[in-house]
Amino acid sequence: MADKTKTGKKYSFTWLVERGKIRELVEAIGDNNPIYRDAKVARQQGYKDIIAPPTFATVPILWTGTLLQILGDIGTKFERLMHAEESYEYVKEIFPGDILTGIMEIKGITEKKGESGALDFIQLKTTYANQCNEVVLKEEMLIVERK
Amino acid sequence: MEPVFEELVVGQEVIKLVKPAMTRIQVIRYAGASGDFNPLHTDDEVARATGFDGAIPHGMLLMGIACQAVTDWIPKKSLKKIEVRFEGVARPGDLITVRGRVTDKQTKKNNGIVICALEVRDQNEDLKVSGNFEAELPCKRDKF
Repeated sequence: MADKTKTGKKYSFTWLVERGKIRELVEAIGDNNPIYRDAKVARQQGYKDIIAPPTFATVPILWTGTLLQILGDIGTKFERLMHAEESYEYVKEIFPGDILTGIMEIKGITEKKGESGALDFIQLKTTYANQCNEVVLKEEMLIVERK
Repeated sequence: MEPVFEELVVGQEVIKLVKPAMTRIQVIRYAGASGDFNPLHTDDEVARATGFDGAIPHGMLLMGIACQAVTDWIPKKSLKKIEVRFEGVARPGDLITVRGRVTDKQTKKNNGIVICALEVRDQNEDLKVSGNFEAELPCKRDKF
């Protein structure tokens, strides 16, 4: 059973957005849109530089170790976890060179009985701001632990 | 051409992206790019031990593909919200198709808000990801 007493706990992390990391992510996805790799095209389309793709926020929560730290703190078993839901609300674009600060909060941990036994639903909410203290992105994630 | 709010019809299919077969290398690259090294995604033995047929690609890779389809259709800056549910696991070799259709239209100030449903399916039409996104599109009358 995931540790419900951790509900409400917040974790912060910072992340420098690199051009190369954006490139790696879109290459892996197979997304050839030039707005993620060619600054000239991005400028023609009204952006000041290339931009981070819509799912970029997965990079800092994983590469900073924040998500693993949270999942460890609430006592989940890594190999039993499934990503159930994900949502993003876009406020401003994220550009290379931005320094993002994320605050990830454990919003809730609930146990439900599933067909194949009990499941824990872990709800995480993250807000990202840039170096100008502007909120750029809000994220919600639902992770399920199969027991 | 950027879609125009008035020209969209509720029910209309606006997105169809057919991807090349997903490969193991792609999944490994996604692990490295995203930083998600859960062996469930890359190691067949680990995946089998937890009840799968073999390693299963990251759900976020499928969401990334869904978002590719969305920003092929509308400018990234028009995308305001997206929410997905991971319905089923994919496997390397799967032929992934993303489809999107308009489910609602609303006007807000001088912009049109379009809500679309998204589905990510494999070659057998098995559902992998479902979801919705909200896009803010310019209205035609702005141009007059």
